Amino acid sequence: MKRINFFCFGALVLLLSFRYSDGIWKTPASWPEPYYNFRKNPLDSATVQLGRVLFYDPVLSSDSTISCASCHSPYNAFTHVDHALSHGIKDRIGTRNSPVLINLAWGNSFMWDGAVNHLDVQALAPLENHLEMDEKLVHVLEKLQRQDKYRRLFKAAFHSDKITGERFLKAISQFMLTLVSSNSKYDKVLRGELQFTENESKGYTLFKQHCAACHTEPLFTNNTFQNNGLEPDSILKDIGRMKITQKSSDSLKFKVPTLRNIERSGPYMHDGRYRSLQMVMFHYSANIHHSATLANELKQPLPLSEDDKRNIILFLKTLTDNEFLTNKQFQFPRNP
Amino acid sequence: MKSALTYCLLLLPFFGWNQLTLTVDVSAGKQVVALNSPVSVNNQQVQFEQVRFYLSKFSFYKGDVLIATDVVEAYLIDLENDSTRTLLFPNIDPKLVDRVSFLFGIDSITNTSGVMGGALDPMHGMYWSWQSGYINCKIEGTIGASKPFQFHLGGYAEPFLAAQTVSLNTSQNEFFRLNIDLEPLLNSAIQSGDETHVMSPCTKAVEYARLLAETIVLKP
Repeated sequence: MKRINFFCFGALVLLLSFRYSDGIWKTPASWPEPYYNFRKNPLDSATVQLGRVLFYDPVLSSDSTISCASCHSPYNAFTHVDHALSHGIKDRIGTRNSPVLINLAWGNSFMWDGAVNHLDVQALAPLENHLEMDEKLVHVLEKLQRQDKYRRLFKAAFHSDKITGERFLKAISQFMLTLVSSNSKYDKVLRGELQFTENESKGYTLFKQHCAACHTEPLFTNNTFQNNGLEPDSILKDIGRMKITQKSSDSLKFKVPTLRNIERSGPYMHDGRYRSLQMVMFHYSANIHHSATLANELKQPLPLSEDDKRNIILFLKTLTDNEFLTNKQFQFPRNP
Repeated sequence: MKSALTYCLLLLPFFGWNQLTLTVDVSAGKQVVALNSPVSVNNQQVQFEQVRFYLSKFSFYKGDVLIATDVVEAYLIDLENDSTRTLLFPNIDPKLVDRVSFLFGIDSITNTSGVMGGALDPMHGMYWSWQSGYINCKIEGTIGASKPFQFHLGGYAEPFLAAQTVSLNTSQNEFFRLNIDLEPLLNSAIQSGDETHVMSPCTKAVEYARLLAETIVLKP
């Protein structure tokens, strides 16, 4: 009898845990399964909330002036508004444009050069970068451990108020995993809820013809690294992916970014050199810098008329997801 | 009575039954290495400020047969903390094994599996932040009066796979002393002149990791 009770209790706990997790995470219909392994870090509301509080807390930086949100604000699809290169503490200017934080559960590497191989360790990079937060993980944990608020939040999330690096990073990861954008006009058109205008529709056709090889639907990235024909910046001297792999075949290659919410996430490219989508279209049609690793798709300039460019931009604007950009669950937590 | 017997059996390993203890020593040739205590290498005074390294994935064999695999993922040996130099393997009967195998460093799968806890928690400062991956081994100090050296050896992807497999024959003792000799590494660095700073995955990091792993021996 005792055995039966034990079995029933176990089954109930298992059932409840699935329901709990399912309430927070839902893979959008017809999307591929996420790359992230949720079994190793199952989402729950207390841990997501802890991650959210940490994301917005400048205590993560050495002088308590910069939070994750400083360079990844929700209204700009979690990138840095109006900055080509992000700045960290004491206005130290970084070397790259902060990437958007969207649909990260489908990412298999992070940062423009893929230096980070797993979402759970991604936050370490800005935290310890001299030009960004310039902190040490162990020191951040000490600061958090001293605060009643964090001991309470960690206890709620992990049933223990001991703050470790693993728990800290998993919590931030959980919040970032919830940043799913799948309700743009594009998504609604595909679901049969709305229709494209004639020009948007033309733009979509052109997009599929010229851009989708790398910016593959529905995530609008194929998660590869490509040389997209940007002339190397003589000051930054950024070699991209080659810095990590040390292979010359990776020279000047950068991660293909998602185009979701592109209307709101300018400036564009790894160094933020283009301030508008018009400039981006000009680049791909008339400004490609040829080098040994240039993507095959760009070896010939894209044959786009001015109307074509306008229509592609109109289509790109259908990727703006206002529900995502204004979701209160993603914003600064008022009462942590 | 039956449950009392079960508890006794479960507790027996803590009283030394079927337990293997391994103590890790660090030397420079025949000299014992301790932090901030100079040793002589290649006619030069060498002082260590930090010596930390991972040993992981312990497996125990009898001939070619796997007898047991350690449940602890990894051990971080840190000369600053003496207690980290003693590794306990409860439930390993020394009489049933004649070989131990382990990694000097952390394997690729662990390196790509996200954040870990325990000895592998990034808060221990043995994880690179500018790119993913564990620092398998950190050795820092000075050669002579003021020439600093810093070896942060790691790398989890080809061609810079730094973790080294070590396989050593054991006797039937319950206590072993495992020794790693830093002298060949320092000799190589001193002789080459300019290879005293290795801070990222690269050919030199793999070469130095191999050099260190080859010095590991087991003494009863």
